Parts: sequence; structure tokens; C-alpha cells
Amino acid sequence: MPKLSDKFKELGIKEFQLLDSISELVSVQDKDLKILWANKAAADSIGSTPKDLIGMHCYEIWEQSDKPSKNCPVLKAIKTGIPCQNEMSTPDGRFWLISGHPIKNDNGEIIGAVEITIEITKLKETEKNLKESEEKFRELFNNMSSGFVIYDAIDDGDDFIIKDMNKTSLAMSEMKKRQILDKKVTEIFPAVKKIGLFSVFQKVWKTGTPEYVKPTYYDDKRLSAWVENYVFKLPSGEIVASYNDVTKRKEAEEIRIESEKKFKALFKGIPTPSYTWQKVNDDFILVDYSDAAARITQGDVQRFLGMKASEMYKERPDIIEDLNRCFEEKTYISKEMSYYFEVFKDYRHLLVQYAFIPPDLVLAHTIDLTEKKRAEQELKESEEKYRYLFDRSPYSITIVDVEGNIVDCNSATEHFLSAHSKNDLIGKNFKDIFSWNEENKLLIPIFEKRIQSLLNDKVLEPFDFPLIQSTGDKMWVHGEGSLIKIENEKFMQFIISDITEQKRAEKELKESEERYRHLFERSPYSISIVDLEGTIIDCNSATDYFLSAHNRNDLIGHNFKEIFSWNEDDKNLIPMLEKKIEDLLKGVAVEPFDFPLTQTTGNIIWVQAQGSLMEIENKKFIQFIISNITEKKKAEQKLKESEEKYRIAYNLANLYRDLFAHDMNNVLQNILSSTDLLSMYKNYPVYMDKVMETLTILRKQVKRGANLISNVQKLSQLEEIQYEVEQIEILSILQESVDFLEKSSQGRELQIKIDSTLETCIINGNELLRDVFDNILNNAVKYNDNTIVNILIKISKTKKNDLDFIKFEFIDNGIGIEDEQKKVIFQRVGRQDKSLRGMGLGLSLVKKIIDNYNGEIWVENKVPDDYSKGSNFVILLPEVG
Amino acid sequence: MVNIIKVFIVEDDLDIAHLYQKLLVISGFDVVGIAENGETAIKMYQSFSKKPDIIVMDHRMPIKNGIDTTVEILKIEKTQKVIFASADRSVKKEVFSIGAVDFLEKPFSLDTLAQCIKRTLDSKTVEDEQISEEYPQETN
Repeated sequence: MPKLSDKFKELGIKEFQLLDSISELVSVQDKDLKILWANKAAADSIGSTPKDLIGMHCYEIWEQSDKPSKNCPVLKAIKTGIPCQNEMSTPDGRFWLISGHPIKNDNGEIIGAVEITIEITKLKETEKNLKESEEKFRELFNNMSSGFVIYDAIDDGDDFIIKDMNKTSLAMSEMKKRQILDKKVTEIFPAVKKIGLFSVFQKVWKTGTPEYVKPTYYDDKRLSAWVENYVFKLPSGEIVASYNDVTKRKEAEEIRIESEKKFKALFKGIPTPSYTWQKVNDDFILVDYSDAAARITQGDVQRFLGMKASEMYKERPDIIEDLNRCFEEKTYISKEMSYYFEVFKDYRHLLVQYAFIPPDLVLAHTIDLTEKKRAEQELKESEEKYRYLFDRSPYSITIVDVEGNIVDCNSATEHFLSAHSKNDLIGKNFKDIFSWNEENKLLIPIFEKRIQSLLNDKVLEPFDFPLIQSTGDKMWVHGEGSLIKIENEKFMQFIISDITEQKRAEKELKESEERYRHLFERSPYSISIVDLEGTIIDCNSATDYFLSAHNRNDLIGHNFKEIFSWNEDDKNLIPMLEKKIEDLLKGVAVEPFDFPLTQTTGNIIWVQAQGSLMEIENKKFIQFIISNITEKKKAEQKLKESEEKYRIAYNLANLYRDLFAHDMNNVLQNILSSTDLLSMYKNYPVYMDKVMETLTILRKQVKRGANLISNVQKLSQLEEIQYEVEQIEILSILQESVDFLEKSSQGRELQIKIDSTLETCIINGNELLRDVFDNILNNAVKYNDNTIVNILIKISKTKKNDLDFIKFEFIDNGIGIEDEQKKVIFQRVGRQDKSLRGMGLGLSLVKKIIDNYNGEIWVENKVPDDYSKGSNFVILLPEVG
Repeated sequence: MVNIIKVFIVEDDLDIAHLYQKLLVISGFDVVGIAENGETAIKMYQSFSKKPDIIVMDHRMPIKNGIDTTVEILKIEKTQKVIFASADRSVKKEVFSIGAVDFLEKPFSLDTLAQCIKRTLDSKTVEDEQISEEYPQETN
């Protein structure tokens, strides 16, 4: 590579000549700082030539000193062997940046130095100015009334470190600078994120666009204040946040707002419609109105806000005049006026009060007197009405003072007190007036007493008294007195009405009442009035008889339950009567009802009671009317008995018809058939032996017929009369019956066994007992399908209900009797009873006879639960001891 | 050869039943049996290999009466001729309604019984006519 010097040579340029072309001052000096060479700029700096400078000391030339400066960098470079630099000023006030570079020989020894100097006077000035300016701003920064904090972003804006704070901000934060510097904002002001300021920092840091933050309330454990912020970014990248503590301002503002609100509310809440007028130039403008004003105008006032009074009250110059007078004279005006309300399409009577409010307001209160005026009018009318009533009342109305002097009275009083005009009465004492008539004089002490009572604040009961009139007629009057106060003075008011007619009516009523009382008293029926609890309130004297009382005082005031408990039999009637009373109270229709009453004599009377609900003076009562229906009951009983007899007779007639239709016709059929047969035998001698047999049948049938008639007779006699009974031995009768059965039952094999623990037994009976045994034994044979008829007769003693009986059991092996039939076989059989047709008369006669002996008969199964195995007829007959 | 008419007597009064029997036998009828109540009658009727031409049925009987017995027998053999015998003429209407061919009111003579049997068997229409005479309104 060619050397630079060679290049210079090629160009014909000397190396040192290059240094002449630069603006820096360059010189080469020996160890003593003697100039060996200098460039043009160095010479130019003192207005010399480079040649002239050679051999001179540099401090002589620029510092104009005889010795070098201690700080001379050239000297330092020569001494130290390393390049040095320093700023220096010259006496001419210029500043220089001087660099000293040591020059070494080939042996490394320092032989001199190169000095390069640059004039930095302008730079220095700029620097100085800047410093001054910086100081000025710093001072400003520090002394700003707003707090300023400079932040540096860290972690790409994740947080901010406090770089500087001015005094105000330090004061605001109540900390010292060293406690804060280089700390994270989130550490020092922990609520910074909460109030949103932190995000503003980030935004401003990123965008560089300043932002204003409205006053917010900052609050952490240490600090709390209203602050207003302005955040901006410095060209150097830091962000600055200004803090204004607006707490006081905010508080003041709040107080003002509150105060305004309060006064606004007070104004708004004024109960009377109120309007605020503001004086503007020569006019008034409506600036506000109270809620009451909005209400009374139904919101219409809204549209007048901001309107001029001159416009609004074109037709009412008097109002404008009032407003002006109030404002000008700073006075209070109150006046009544009539005002037309658009919303009502009507006039209202208003009391308007104007009040001056400094500096420029007039407050107009309006009070609606329309209703009050109307009430006054009504009161006036009412007063007139009462006055009219007072004057025209048919009652005497008198107002008397405490002395008894008549203060006022109406015209009616003239009539009551026989005066020509009320002027004859007013001003006079009542004693004088009552003294006009000797008889009325007697009333004076009575009235004196009553006046005294009234004056003692006692309530006076209404009272009736007779007034004798000037004509001598007696007028009955009803008086009511009361204490009244008129303007705190005590008076008495007496209202007296004519009750002569009422007295007469009362007398008539009393007479009428007496008549009814008489009827009530003389009634053959018991009439009693019972209250809802069942207590007898009143009753007539007939009731004494019905309820076996000596007199009605034993009954009145007593509860019916108590009265009905006098007797055990009547006690049973209480629930029934209670139910009737309950039904009557419920409004249920209660039909007349019959019941027996047992009297103290033990006699029973049948009564019929009729209850009804009645009301006396709004109180409910029950009236019972009780009639004696004993005779009626007896007649009914007789009728019933007669009916029963008729029924029995009817049944008997049916029974007889039945008997003749069947049994007797069978007898007749036998006889007829026998005679037919005899007629036939008559023509055939071969049958002659049969004739006797047939005649036997004939006889037997005649006997059967006779028996039947006898049974019917017995039965009908049993129905009508009591058969006489005597002590008879029963076992022999039973034996006779058994013997007869065995003889008469030809063609049937009978096995009859009598099993008796008794040798003899006596009962009260008669010849009908044989019919009982005959019937039972005959049935045992007749209703039996077996070849051999078995009958076991068991006789034993037994007790029933502590009575001794002889018990007969007839146990057969017949077809038996179904349970349903067991119930009816002893009843007389009607032909309509299909299932029992053919059973005949027998068992009903048996039952009748046993009943006659006070015995019992029933039928059981021979084998329990299987009727088909045979029957057991059981007879109980009372034993004669 | 003349067929002897077979008669079955149902009658609780055995004296009467035996008299009927004697009379009917003399008059040339064959009495195939006597039953003294309805139950027995039905049992005996069921046991007959050859059914009787005529049943003379009493009304009032123990265990089962004549009407119920007739109804049951006609259930077994609906062409069976039953002559009803009763002292109670009020049952006549009911007797015909259940299917009896004739009604004899007790007491009646043997001649009446014999003629009634013959009439019943000679002409089947006779009883119909008789019925229609007595109860024209019911047969119409």
C-alpha cells in the first residue's frame, strides 16, 4: 500500500500544508513549550504569521503569561507521555479546548508535543446559557405550586420509576426525596392503578400524547386527597405527571354545591308556590320556581322559565309595578289579588308576598286563598243556615248564662214559655219567667239543680216535665241541657221539645201492651221467651203448670236445662230442646214437636211445642208456645189401638179364610171323595169290605173338621180373652200326645223316646198344652222323608234371667227348617207368603199358647250349621216352685 | 189294545190321595204314584221311565208347593199335562199362566176329575178353548 506521504508528494502537497487548511490551531512544541511549527489557523488566531510564531512559547502567545498554566494539557502530555485535554480560557474571554499529544523520538524519549486547540467560546456560551436556563427551569420545577413527578419507564412500560419530584409533590406525598427516588410508582403510590392514573402513564408513554386527568380521589393507607393530573412525555422519553391537590377546591365546591342544593331544596320545598325573578336591565326574568309552583300550574310554569316579566304580564302592569317597587325600595310587599290560571281556566284568589333578595332577585310567594275564602263564605252561609234553623226550629232553644239569665232564644221558645215575643224573654232570668205561673214555679228548684250539675261539668240526662201554659193547658216537654262555651265563657243550652203527643202515644202503647200482657197471661198455652243461652226471660202463668213450678219466679232467670233437670225423665229432653234452639238460631224451619213432660205428681202430660225466633230491640230471642195435647195423644193412642185390633181382626179374617180354603176344603174333599167311593162300592159287592174302611175315613175326617173348628175357636179366644191357667202335671199330657200320635200314624214307623231327668213337673197351664205337643209331634212326622221317624224328647230344668224353667226339646230327623224360615214359622201364615204355604195353623197356635203361659218357643237345628239333618223345637215353661 | 191312562197324584193329604187312587183305579185309570210333597214329586217324576199322561197337582203342600213343582216339572217335560187342584180359586189365573191345562176347585167329585182327565186327553184343543173362554183377553 502506498504511503500517504507518497500520495501527497504525487499531488505536490507538503504534509504540513494540510494542517493549514483546518480550523483547529495546531502547533509543534519542544519540551520547553517553544513553538517549532504552527499552522495558519494558529497564526490567524493572533493575527500573525506562522513564521512569527516559531520560537515563541505558547503561554506567551495565548495566555500572555510568562509561565505555563498548571492545567496546561501540553505540559501534562510531555510530563506523562500520554495525550491530555483541558479547557482553558484566555484573558480575552475566549474559551479553548486544548489537546496535548506527546512526540517521542526513536528511542521513545519525549522530545516535544503537538498542541491542537479548538475555540469553544461559542460552545461555552451556549452551555452556560443552557445551564442557566436549566437552573431556571429547575428552580421553576421545584417551586411550582403543582406537584411534578418525572418517571422513567421500566420493563417496556410495565412500571415507572420515580426520577424526580418537585417540592410540592414531595410535600404532597409527605416523604423525603431520598425515600422516593428510583422507587416504583406503584410502590410509593399504591392506589395509582385504582384511580386509573397508571394506565394514563402507559398510554402517554406509548403514544407521546399528553392527557388531562379529571380530579379523582386518591386514597391509600398513607395519603388521601382529591388530585387533578396532567401527564406528558418528555422528548428524552421520561413521562411527567403534574399533580394538583384539589381537595380544598373540591371540598369548597362540594360545600358550595351542597349549600346550593340545600338552598335550592329549601326554595323548591317552600310549601307555597314561589317564583324567583332576576333583575336584568330594565326587566325581570323568571329564573326559578318552587315545586309547589310546578304543582299548582301542573308543570305549566316550566315554559315560562327565562321569560321576561314585561312579556308575561302585558295585561297585568300592577304585577310589574310590584316587582319594580320591591326591587327599587328593597322592601317587602304583601297584597291580595285575583289571578287567572291558564291551566284551571279559572281565577284564584292569591295572597302575593314579594321579597327582595340581594343583589338582584325578587322572590314572589303566592298563597292561594281561594279555598279559605270559600270556607269563609261557607261558614257564613252555614252560620246563616244554623241561625235560620235556630229561629225556625220547632224546639225551644234557649241559651242561658251561669246566672240563669236568658241570653238568646229562638221564636219557638215564645210558644213554650207563653211569651208574646222572644224579646219578653231575652235578658230575663228563668226564675222570673217560671214565676209567671204558680205551677211552673215548682220547676225552678229542678232547673237550679240541673244548671248546677252542668256547671260542675256533669253530663245531664234528658228529662221530661210538664209546662203549664198561659191557657192553663198542660204541655209535656222533653228537655236536654248541655254546657257550651262561647269565646271562653260558659253558657248552658236547653233544647226543649213538645212531647205531649208522644206521651199520649206512650200511654196508648202501654195500654195496648197491657192488653197483650193480659192475653199472654190468660193464655191456656205456656208462652215462654228464652234468650240465646236458654235462660227464660219471661213466661206466662200457664208455664207454671206445664213446668211444675209454684210460680213463674221459679222459672224466670233460670236456664231451661236447670228446670228440666228437676226431674230425671225430663232431663232426657234437654239434648232434643238444645238441638231445636240451635236449628231456630240457624234459621232452619222447626216444625211443631211433641214430647212428654213428667210433672211433680208423676203424671205425664203430652205437650206440643212450637218455637220461633223473634227480635226485641235488635236482640234475638226464642219464643216457645207449648200446648197440652195429652187428650189428643190419648185419642191417638186409642185410635192406634183400635187400628191394631182392626189389623188383628183383619189378619184373623184372612187366616180363617185361608183355613177354610185349605184345611176345611181338604176335609170336605175327603168326605166328598169318600161318599163317591161309597156310591161306587155300593154297585160292586166285591168291594163291600172296603165300605167299612171308607166309613172310618169319613169319621176321621169329620173329627178332623171338628178339631179344626175347635182350634180356630181356641185361637180366636186366645186373641180376645185370657185362658185361665191352673197347676197341671205336664209329663202325663205329653205321654198322651205321644200315644195318640203312634196310634194315628198308620203306615209310618215311629221311634219316640222321652229322656227326662224329672219324674213329675208342674206348670201353670191348661188343656191347650195337649195341642202344643200334638202339633209339634205331628209336624215331626209330616215333614220327614225318612222311613223311620225318630223323635227324641228331652226334658230338663234350666234358668233364664234368674227364673226357673222346664225345658222341652223335640229333636227329630225330619227335613229341617232353613234359617230364613225359622224366623217366621211361628207367625200366622198368610196365603200371600208363597214359601210357607201349606204350613197350616198349628205353629202359630202353639206360639200363642206358649206366650199365654209366659213361656218361650223357638227352633234350632239338630246339627248346628246343617238344617237338613232335622230340627229341635225348644219350649221353655215357667216351673211352679 | 187300549192304552190305560197313567195318572200321577201329588197331594200332601194322604187320605185324599188314597181316595183319588181308589176312585181312579175303579174308573179304569192307572195311578203310577203318589207324592205327598213337591220335592218328592219331582224326584219321582224324574225316575219315571214312562212319563204319566196326567198329573193331578195339589196346591198347598209342605216343602214345595204345587205351583213351584209344576214349573219345575214343565221344565223337565214341557208337554206334560198338569191338572191343578186347589180350594183357593184366586190362584187359577197364575196356574194357567205357568202352563197347567186345567183347574179343579176343591171339593170336586170323582166324576168331575174323571171327565176332566178324559177331556184333557181327548182333545188337545179343548183346554185351549176352555182357557180362551175364561181368559179371552190373555190369549189374544
